[in-house]
Amino acid sequence: MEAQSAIAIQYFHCSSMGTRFDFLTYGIDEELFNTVQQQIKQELERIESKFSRFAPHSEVYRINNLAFSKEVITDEETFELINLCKIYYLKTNSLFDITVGKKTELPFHSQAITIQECSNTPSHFENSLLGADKIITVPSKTAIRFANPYLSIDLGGIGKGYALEKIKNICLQYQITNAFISFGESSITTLGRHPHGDHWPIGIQHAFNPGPTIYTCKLNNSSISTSGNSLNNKTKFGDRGHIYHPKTGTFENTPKSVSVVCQSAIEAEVLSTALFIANEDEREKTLDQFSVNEALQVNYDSFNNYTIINYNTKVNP
Amino acid sequence: MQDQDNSRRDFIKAAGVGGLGLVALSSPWLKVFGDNKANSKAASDKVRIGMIGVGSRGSYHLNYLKQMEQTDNIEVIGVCDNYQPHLNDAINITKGTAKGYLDYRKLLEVKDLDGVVIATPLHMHAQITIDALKAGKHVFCEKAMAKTIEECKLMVDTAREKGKILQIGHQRLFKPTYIKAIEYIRSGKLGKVTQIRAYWHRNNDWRRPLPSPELERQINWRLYREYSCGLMTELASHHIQVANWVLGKTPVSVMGTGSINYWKDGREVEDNIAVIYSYADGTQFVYDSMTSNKFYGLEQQILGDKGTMELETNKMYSENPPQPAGILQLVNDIEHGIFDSITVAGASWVPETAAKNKGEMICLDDKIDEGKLQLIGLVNAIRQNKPVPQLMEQGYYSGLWTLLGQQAIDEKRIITLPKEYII
Repeated sequence: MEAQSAIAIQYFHCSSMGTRFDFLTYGIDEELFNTVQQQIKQELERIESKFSRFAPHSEVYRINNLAFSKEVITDEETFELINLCKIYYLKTNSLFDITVGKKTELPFHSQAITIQECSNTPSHFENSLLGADKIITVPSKTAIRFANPYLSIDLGGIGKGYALEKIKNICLQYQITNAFISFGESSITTLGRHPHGDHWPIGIQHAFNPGPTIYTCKLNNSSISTSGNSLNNKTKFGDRGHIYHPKTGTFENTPKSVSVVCQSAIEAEVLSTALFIANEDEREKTLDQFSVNEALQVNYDSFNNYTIINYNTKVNP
Repeated sequence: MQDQDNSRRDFIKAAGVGGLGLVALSSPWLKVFGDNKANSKAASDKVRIGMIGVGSRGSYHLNYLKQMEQTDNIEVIGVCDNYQPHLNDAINITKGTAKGYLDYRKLLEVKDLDGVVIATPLHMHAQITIDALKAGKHVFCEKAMAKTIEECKLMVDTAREKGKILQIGHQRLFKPTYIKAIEYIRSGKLGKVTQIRAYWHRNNDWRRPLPSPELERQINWRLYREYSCGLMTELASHHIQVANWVLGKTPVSVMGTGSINYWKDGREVEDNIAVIYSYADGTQFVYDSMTSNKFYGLEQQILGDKGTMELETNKMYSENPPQPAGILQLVNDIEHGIFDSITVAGASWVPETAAKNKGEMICLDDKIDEGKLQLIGLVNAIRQNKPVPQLMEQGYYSGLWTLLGQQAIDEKRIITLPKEYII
């Protein structure tokens, strides 16, 4: 018989950034929880409306529309975030690139597009014009300029991690020290521990044949992000993967997933995307640049068989 | 509290604009939130309410009504109780803004009074309700509806004759979990529902403290057949109402038994009962209640060939369960003292096809206080000055079948509904 828990859980969820957002904590005052919940929702709305490239009133939309024709003065937060993305572009050997977003757009709307067509969509010429290094930043004016008209910014690859870090700060501001915070269960950050253990145990399932957990990561004040291909991706996006390789100009469609555990939710998200498309050399160089707790790749051979490689755990240089 | 208010506003807005889909068919009384007139804040549309019976349940309503004075364009202008200490407490709750009455008939004489909320002992429900309706007042009466089926019918007939609202206080009719559950059931999520089970178990003597011994029958009226039918009217009536709502029909017969096997303290009502209601299609509603063990507590289980719902605890279980979202599994684990991995497949993209059945929540946002919401519904309806669709009928048939269940226990035979009581 299971023991009934006397622990009061405080939990809410909402829709944000195209997926489901979940927040769970426990053992705090109900009034405090309501206050924090309200602040988190406001913060999610603020971040989404500011950084969505699709929202006509967003800052990113404004930059994308103006930054080739003129220098765009932006606010400090936006400027710093774009600069951070440029740093990650360099630290991941150009694998994490906020300028490739448009490349993923066209196939979203066409089930008829084949892998071959996807591969052919971006020309080598276009690829040579992309890259976060071609976003020119002027710190003295917090200004952004694009080096060519093919550039546009898509913060989708970092937005959830960024929001998770912001929410973590809200929690700490209110002395909430234990929490499980999730975007669509693919980007998760944690504070403290599960009420019945000394960490939050995150179980990874077989992506094509869900059942028992195939690997468990221990999170305590740390984050996990996963990038992967699965049946659902194929159904959703056509018979291909959904992560675009900025160097080859193709979509990665290998049946695999990459999960990264590290302290920062932002870096977990950046790395799960970068490592998913990295070759061996790129992976080693990239991991050398970061401090990660775990970097797991699950390769799926079939609906039943899989292998797990833990690239882990080089400490930050 | 603020979160509750936000949830309530969202809920009312959704109900009002007809955004509830199937719910509009299965819970038509929610339409009461949708009318502009119903939500009017104009001084001329202020609703003036009187409270009759301000003991424990009555003061619960009174506190809500006082909150609603700030938000819902109402005013509590009178409070009434024949027990002076309760009346004093009620006047204090209103900070002296409401006038106190020892005789409800004096309160009914107040010309500006639009409606009354009745929370007296059961045996008084019918007379006060009928007097209020005849005085031209709308009525919210606590459940169970009345002490006899004759009284129930007379209350309905009077309300119809006078064209006034008669709402019985079954607050689950306004509870999001139940509304969502009924929507799911109507959409076929549980498949064919063939049995409903419910129980309400307590382990106490159900007595209130007495200021002095001669007040025993007045204070502990629930224990005496002159005033109450005990477990059936005070507890079972809630679950009978829900069973009828779930199935969208009323029973055709009831059998039952009960006894006093533990609290042999002079009480006249059973301390344990068991009843089975049968519906025309063979569906059974099995209910029991006791007061000498509380391990299983309170629950209502809806059993279908595709799944099960436990309404009181907001849980739903599929016969062929999908993998619960990791977060729901986590909530469930914590509640049950389990330290287990939070299963993610790496993304929100995992096919939901697997294995263990720990259930899922029926309604994720259940913070709305249905006790208050039913009163908001009442004042909205009063402002519209027209009965709320099917709300009185829900209370009537619940009250009726509660009393027929008691009759089955008393007479030890299967009871059916006399045709003249069909409305």
